[in-house]
Amino acid sequence: MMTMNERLDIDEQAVAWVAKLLGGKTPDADKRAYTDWQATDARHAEASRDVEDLLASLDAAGEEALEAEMVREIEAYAEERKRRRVFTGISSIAAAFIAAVMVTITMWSPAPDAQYYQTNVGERTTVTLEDGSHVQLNTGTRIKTVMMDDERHVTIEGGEAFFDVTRDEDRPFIVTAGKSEVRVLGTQFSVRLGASSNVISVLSGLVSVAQHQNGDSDVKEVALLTAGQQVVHVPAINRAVVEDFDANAAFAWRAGKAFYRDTPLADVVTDLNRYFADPLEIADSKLASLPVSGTFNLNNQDVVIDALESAFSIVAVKRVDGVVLLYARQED
Amino acid sequence: MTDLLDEVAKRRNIKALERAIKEHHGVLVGWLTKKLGCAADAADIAQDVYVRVYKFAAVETIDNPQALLFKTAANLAINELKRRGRVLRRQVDADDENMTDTVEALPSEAPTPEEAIGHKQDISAMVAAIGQLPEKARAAFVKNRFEDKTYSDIARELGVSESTVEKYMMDALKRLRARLMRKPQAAVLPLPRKARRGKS
Repeated sequence: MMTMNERLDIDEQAVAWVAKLLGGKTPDADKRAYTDWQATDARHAEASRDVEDLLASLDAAGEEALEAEMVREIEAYAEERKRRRVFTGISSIAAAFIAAVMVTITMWSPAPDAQYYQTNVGERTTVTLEDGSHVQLNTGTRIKTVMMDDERHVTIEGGEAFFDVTRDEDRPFIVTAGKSEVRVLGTQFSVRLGASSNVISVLSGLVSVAQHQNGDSDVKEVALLTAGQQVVHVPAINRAVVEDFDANAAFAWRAGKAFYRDTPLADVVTDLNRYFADPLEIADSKLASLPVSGTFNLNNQDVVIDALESAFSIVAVKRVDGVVLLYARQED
Repeated sequence: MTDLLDEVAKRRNIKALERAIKEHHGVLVGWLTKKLGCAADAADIAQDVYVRVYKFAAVETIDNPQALLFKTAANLAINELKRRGRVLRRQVDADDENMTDTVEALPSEAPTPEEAIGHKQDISAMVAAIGQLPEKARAAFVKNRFEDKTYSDIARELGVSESTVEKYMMDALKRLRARLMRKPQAAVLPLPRKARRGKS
C-alpha cells in the first residue's frame, strides 16, 4: 500500500509536470519525459489525468474569470493613473503659473522684449504688466505685449481681454486686435477679437478706435468712445457701429458668468462654446432663434446645460464624441 | 411600457454615466491601448463601450457606473482578443471527448435540469476558486489559461523570470486542486461529461 506521503508526492509531481508543460515553448524532450513519468506507474498516470481533467474543467469556466481579472487590471491601472495624476496635477498648476508669468522671447535687436500671456479654453487669468496695468484674459486668449519707452503695445492674437490701464500721458497704451487699433492713455475697456468683427467696450475713460489700412503705420480713426459705449468694428467693410451697451452683460465673463437678454439661442451657443471643450450644438433648427435671457455660470458646463434644460424647452443629449446636442423637448 | 425605466430614472442614469465616462475615459483608452497594443482599436472599443452602456442605461437602473464601464470594457476587450485568436476557446474544443461544449451552447442532448444547475454551480465554484488565488498565482494562471500567453509573455508583463511564472502556476494548480478536488483520487467537480448524460 502506498502511504499518504507518497500519494501527495505523486500529486505534487503531476502538478509540477503540468505546470512545466503549459509554458508555451516546452522542448520535446520534456514532453517525452512527462510521458515516460506517466508510464512508469499507474498512479502517476492517474494523478496526471486528474490534474489535466481539472485544468480542462477550469478552462471551460474561463471567460468569467478572465473578465474578473481584466476588471482588476483596469482598476489597478486607474489607481496607478490617479497616483500619476496627483503628480502631473501639481505640475499643471505650476505650468498655469508659468504661463501667466511670462514667456520671454529675446530678440536680436535692442528693441524691448515681447512677452506672451495666454489662457486655455475654460481658463481665466489676470496678469499685471510692467507699467502696473492689469490685463484680464478670458477663455482661450493669447496676447503679446511690448513695452517701449514711448509706447505700450499689446496685440490680441486671439480671444478677449479686459484692460485696466495705468494712466501715463507720455506712453500711450495701444491695443491691436486684427485690423482694429485701440489707443488710450488710461482707462478700463475690453477688446474681443472676432473672426470678422472686433468688439471694443469701454467701462471708463476715453478710447480711440482706429482701423489699420494695408500699411502697418497707416491708421484711420473710426470711433471715439466714452464710458458705456461699445463699437462693433468690421474692418473688411470699413464699418464701425457705436452703441450704448450693458456693462453687466459685456463684462460678466470677468466674474465667470455669461449674461444674455433676449439673445437668440444660436448666438448664446456660439458664445458659450468659447468656454468649454465639449461644444454645444443646436440639433433642432427651430431652436436657433429661441430668445434666451439669464445669467449662466461659466465654471461648470453641466450647470449651464442644466440651466438651459430647466429654463427652456430643451433636452440636452451628449453624443459619444462629447458634443452636446440640444433638442426641442417634445411636449405631450 | 411599464417595464422600461421612467424618464427621471433614465435621466439620472445618463447623468451618472456621463460623469463616469468623463472621469474614466482616459483610464479605459489607456488600458485598452496597453491591452490591445493599438490606440485606434482602443478608441473604437471605448466608443463601443459607451454605446453599450448608454443602451443599458435606457432599460436598467445603474447602481455603479464605474463597475459597469469596467466590466463592459473587459468584456469587449475579450471579444477583440478572441477575434484575434489571443484568447483560448477551449470550451468549444471538439477534440476533447471529456469536455462539454460551451456553457451557452450545450449540444443537442441538453443536460437534465439538475445537471444544468450543478453545472452552473460548478462553474461559479471554479470561477470563485480562481478568483481567490493569491494575486500573482491568479494573474499568471488567468493569463496563461485564458489569454493564451506563454510564460515568457507573462514574465515580461509581471516583471519576473520565467521560472518564477512556472512557480506561480504550480502554486495555482496546487491550490485549485486542493480546493476543487477534495478526494485525491477523483475529481469532485468536473463538468458534466457526455457519458454522465447517458451518451453512448
